[in-house]
Amino acid sequence: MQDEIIARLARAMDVQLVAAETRRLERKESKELDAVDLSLRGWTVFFKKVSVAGAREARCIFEEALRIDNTNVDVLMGLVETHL
Amino acid sequence: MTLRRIGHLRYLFEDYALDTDRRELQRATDVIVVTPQVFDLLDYLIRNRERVVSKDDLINAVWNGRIVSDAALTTRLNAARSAIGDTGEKQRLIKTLPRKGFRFVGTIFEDQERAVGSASLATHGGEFGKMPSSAPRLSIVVLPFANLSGDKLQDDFVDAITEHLTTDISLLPDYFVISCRTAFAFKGKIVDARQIGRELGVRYVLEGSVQSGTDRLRVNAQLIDAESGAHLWAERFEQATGRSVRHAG
Repeated sequence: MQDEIIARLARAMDVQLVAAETRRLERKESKELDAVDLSLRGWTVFFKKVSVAGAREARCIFEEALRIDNTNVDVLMGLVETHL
Repeated sequence: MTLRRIGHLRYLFEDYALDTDRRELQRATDVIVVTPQVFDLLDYLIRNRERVVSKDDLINAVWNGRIVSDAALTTRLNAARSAIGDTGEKQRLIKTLPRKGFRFVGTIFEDQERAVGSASLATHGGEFGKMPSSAPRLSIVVLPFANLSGDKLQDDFVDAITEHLTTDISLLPDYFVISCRTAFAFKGKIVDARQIGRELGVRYVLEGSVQSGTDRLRVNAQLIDAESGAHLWAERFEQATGRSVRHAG
C-alpha cells in the first residue's frame, strides 16, 4: 500500500532532480557534455514537453548521447520512451 | 546503472577507515559520527603521523589559527580518541608527548580507491575541477523521514518508508545515493543541508515527514540543493488506506 506512494514520490523527485541538473548544464560548453549530461537534458525535454514535438526533440538528444556512449541504460531507456 | 564514485583516499588502521573525500570515519561497515573539527583533527594527525605535531599546528589546521582555549583542544582530542576506541590513559593510537605535542602512532595503510563505474567517468575530470564542490551529479541523501503521527509505535513504519524510498531512488539510473545506514546517523537531529552536503559529498538532500492515520497515509517531501541551501521542490502525497497502516507495514 505504501509502496505506491513511495514510487510516486521517487518518480516525482527524479523529474525535479533531473531538471535541476539540466539547469546546471547551461553553464557548461556543449562540447564538454557527456552521455549522462545529454541524457539528463533529453529527459528534461521529454518530461516538460509532453507532445510529439517534445518527444522528437528529446529523441534527437538521446541519439546524440548514444553516439558518445551506446551502453548507457538511461540513454537507451530514453530512446525507447521517445519512440513509443 | 552506473556507479558514481570518484577515486579517493582512505586511511586504514585497525578496523577503522578514515575516508577523506566523504569525510567519514568508518568502523567495519558502520559510520562513526564525529563533528567536523574532530574529523579535521584526526585527518591532520594521520596525515602528519611521521612527526610530532604541536598544539599550534593543530590549532592552525583545525581552527584556521583562531585563538582557542586549551580546554577546547583537549575536548576535541578526547572526542577523537574516543571515536577510535582510544583514551587519554591508554594512548594506543594518539600519543601525547608532554610539552611537545601529539602524534598518531597507529599503523596506517593507505587505500587509494579506484574510480569505479562507467568508462564515461574519465571525462568528468574537467567538470569536477571547475565546480565549487566535488559532489557528483545526481548525488543525494535521503534523510530519515520524521514521524508526525505522535505515535512512537509508528517509528518503525516511518523508518521503513525512508529505507524503501532510498532503495527506489538508488535504482534510478546514474544516481549516487548515500546508504540508509549513513543517513540514519542524522535521525532526529537538526542539521543544515549545506553541511550535510559537504560532509557526505552530495548535491541534494531529500527530507520529509510521514503522517499515518487509520484512514489515510500522508507523506510530505522536500528537495533541497545542498550547495545553495535552496528549496527546489516540495510536495504532499496522500493516499486513502482504509485500514490501519500499522498492520500494513
